[in-house]
Amino acid sequence: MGPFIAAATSLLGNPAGDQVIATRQQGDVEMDLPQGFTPEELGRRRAASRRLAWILGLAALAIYLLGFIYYRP
Amino acid sequence: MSTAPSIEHETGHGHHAEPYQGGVMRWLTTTNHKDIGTMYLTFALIMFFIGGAMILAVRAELFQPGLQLMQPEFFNQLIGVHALVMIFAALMPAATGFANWQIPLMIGAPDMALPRINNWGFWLLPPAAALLTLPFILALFGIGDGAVNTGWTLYAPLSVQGGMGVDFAIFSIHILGVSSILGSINIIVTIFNLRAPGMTMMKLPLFAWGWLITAFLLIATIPVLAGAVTMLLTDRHFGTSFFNAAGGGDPILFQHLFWFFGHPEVYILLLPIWGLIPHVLGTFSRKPIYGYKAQVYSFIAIGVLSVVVWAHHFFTAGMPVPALLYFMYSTMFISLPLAVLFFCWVATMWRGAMTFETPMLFAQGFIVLFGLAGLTGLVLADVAADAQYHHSYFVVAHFHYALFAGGIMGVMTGVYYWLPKWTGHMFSETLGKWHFWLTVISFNLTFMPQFFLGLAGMPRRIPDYALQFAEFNAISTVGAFILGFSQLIFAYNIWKCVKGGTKATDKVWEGADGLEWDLSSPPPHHSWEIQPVIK
Amino acid sequence: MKILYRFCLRAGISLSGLLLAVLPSLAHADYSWNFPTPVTPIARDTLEIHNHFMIVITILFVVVFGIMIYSMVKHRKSVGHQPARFTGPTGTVQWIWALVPFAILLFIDYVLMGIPAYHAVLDMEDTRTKADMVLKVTGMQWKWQYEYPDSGIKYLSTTSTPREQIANKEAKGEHYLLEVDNPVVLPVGKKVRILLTSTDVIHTWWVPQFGVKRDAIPGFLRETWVKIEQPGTYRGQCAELCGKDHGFMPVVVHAVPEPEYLAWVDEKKSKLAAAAAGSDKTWSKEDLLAAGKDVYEKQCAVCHQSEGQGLAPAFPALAGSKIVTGPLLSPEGKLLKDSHVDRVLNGKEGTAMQAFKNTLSDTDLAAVITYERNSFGNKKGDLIQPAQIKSLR
Repeated sequence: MGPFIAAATSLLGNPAGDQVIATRQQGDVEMDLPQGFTPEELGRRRAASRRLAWILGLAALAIYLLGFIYYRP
Repeated sequence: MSTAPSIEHETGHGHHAEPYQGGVMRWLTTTNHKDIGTMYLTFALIMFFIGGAMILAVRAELFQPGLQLMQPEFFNQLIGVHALVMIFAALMPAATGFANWQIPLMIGAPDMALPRINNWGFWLLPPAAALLTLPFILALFGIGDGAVNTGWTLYAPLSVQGGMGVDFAIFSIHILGVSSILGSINIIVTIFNLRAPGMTMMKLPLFAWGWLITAFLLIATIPVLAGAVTMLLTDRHFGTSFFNAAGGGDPILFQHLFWFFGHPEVYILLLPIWGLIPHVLGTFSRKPIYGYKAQVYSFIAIGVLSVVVWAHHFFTAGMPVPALLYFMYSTMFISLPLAVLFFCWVATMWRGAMTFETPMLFAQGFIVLFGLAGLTGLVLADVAADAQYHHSYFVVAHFHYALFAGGIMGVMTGVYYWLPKWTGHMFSETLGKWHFWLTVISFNLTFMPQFFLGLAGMPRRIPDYALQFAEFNAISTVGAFILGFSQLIFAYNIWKCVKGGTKATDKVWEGADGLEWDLSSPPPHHSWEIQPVIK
Repeated sequence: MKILYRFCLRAGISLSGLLLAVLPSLAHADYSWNFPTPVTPIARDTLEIHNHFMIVITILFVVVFGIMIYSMVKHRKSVGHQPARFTGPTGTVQWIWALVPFAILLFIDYVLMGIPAYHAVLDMEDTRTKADMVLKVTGMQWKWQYEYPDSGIKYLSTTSTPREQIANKEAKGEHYLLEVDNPVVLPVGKKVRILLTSTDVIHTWWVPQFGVKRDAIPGFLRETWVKIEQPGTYRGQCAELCGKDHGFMPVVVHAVPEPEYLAWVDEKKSKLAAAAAGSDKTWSKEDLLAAGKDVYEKQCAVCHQSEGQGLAPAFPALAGSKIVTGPLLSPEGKLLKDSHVDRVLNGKEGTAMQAFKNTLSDTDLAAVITYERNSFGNKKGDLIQPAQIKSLR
């Protein structure tokens, strides 16, 4: 499960892609006032979160129910 | 800089620093991660004292041989409920409180991805805690014979025999499980989807990584526990025989199911701590964290390994030799990634410029004492030697070094580290140091003798004991009372800090590094309204 | 305040240092800091493994935390140390520093401790090679039953520590909580294969000096073995929470030279035969009541209490109980379902009320049933003979 996460999440990469324009340096955090996520982007991310949340919840339920169906051979 | 700019959201809320409503309704309906984090932490602190009071009653009974204060039936209830409260109602909610407060701040997210689920996840806890403790009160009125009396491990067939306290515990566990799963889902989707632009997974703060692995473990194993206790419920009331040999079942099946959850559970309790300790060490050594990647891979390795070693909790139940050998060697293997963590913690401090404020003291005390837990865990893995240690006070001592010195002191580290950020005030460093030293010394006084009690042959979960165990039990009880009362200093310090104190700067600690230290102390009501961009 | 703080800090550090220095010697010290004297090959093996492990982990602890304490002293801001910036090993030397500890740990885990562990496990689990005799142990709430199948002996072993000692009304005896009425007797120098099971919940049979601990699981048979090398009396306890008297079901084993053991077997056999013979004669009511009171105190009072008042709701009262004051037998003299006799003989499934027909003799059963029907305010007036119990089995 662990290596799976690491491999899968490396695909997640940089969330904002190439949205970065002019910036001001401050340590390794840069405050870029008009940057960050646009509300549409945030909306998309929240929708993605809801989808993944349903999947994870169903996975948990599946594990629970599996126990009642599985019989030791 | 940090504070939100004076521009409007496209959503049209307008900028404000105050919550929408006040009073009880605010807390009941809040979807703000900081409010919810505060509630989790407050709940955890209260339950910590309740669980602590229970075990002080137990230790008072164990002060001397003979039954002085209570009958064995009540004793058996106290030890089991103590464990359930400490694990499910104190440690886990505290860690979840940290996750709620800190993960959005650390990854530059405006809030958790699922704010309403966040609220539900918390509000499931008080009813669950009530269910757990209600049987005590009912028994006072002659209804039922008290709370669950089988120990927190609920082994069948004893738990099939038990009174309604077991049923209450089963329902409580179901509700606690749902709360944990909701919280875990929220944490996973938040970390995956709401990291600030430029924050790749390998830039994710270690605390978030620790919680990410924890969340996956919870989703994988809580359903198994839920299944096991559901089967227990049906064996008790609906004529099934999952754990009854006469009906074709097997009592040991329960142990397999329980510990399949139970072993990952201890890493669930510890991974968030392992995630936050490096932050503290780096801050107070004024050095960057050593071995970030190694620690991430260790978290993942420990997470995966934790799921395949469960039977070391019941080596004496009788299993085939290949199984004994497999579980022994796989359990020992976990010592390797754990050693990576210890190495990286020491290497983070090495050649730093250390100062020893309270959070650093707790972090270092954690490393030493949790180290003892890990080393004694290694010896417990040895099947032959385990025949002597199993179900003796040696194991009790081992897991208290792991869960108190590891879990609880780790939580205290986090509280002292982040309290100024949350409240905007510095806490009393003097009180903090007194709390630390009293805790560490009395903790060792309480639990070090218990190793030797186990070696001398004292079993667990007994309300009375043979005379040769008397001296160490007396010392342990004295230590326990000092330990318990010392925690009042902690509660007082927190309360005082919430009320007021020296104003905390944004950065709070000279060596602090991370996104949360770029926000004000306390952070504005809406944390990162505009996400930072990470280079 | 600061002075006090610094004093406490230094005291704390010196104390911990002292403790660390003393720790290695504790592994070899007096046995109150370690396992009790081993008297079987397994126990000796286990003690050796434990001692080696303790030395190894003490060294690991001292080395690692020695390094850490050194760092805390040297690399601090107050002495002006400047912080480094490294985040990982750079160069070969540092990689060696990083990897060697893992090689050492691998070696400790899988060679130093792992190989002896393998042999110890195989040895411990080998219950059948060259076993000289069998002892069957049955765990019950809250006593042990011992059976010697080869010799035809079976008896109960219950704690004999008086309740007054537990309630602090009398001074505690030397073997407080570790004494029984009928101990196990085993021959020295013979490999004894021990089979374990239970009649109700999981118990665990543990004698520290034998180095063995094995669960007794209802419906299943588990095994372990001992070969006691020295005569003596060895004491242990139940090690799995099994209900309210979990702490009050000790194990006592007398290990004696073989001739003595054989003599004991004969003696026990004749004693048990005599007790069983009592089931053929006709008993008077007074004799039944007197014997019944004895049995009641030992076997029943622990749950149903000495005045029969019970401990609601787990343990019903016998005083005024509908079952106890109900009919003794059917008009044809057969067993009535859920009657008093049925309960005592066959127990009640799903509760702690066990089937006493498996553990008590006909005489004991007849006596205790008679006693219960004529005590605690119950005035049934009837009685039941051991011969009747025998016919109902």
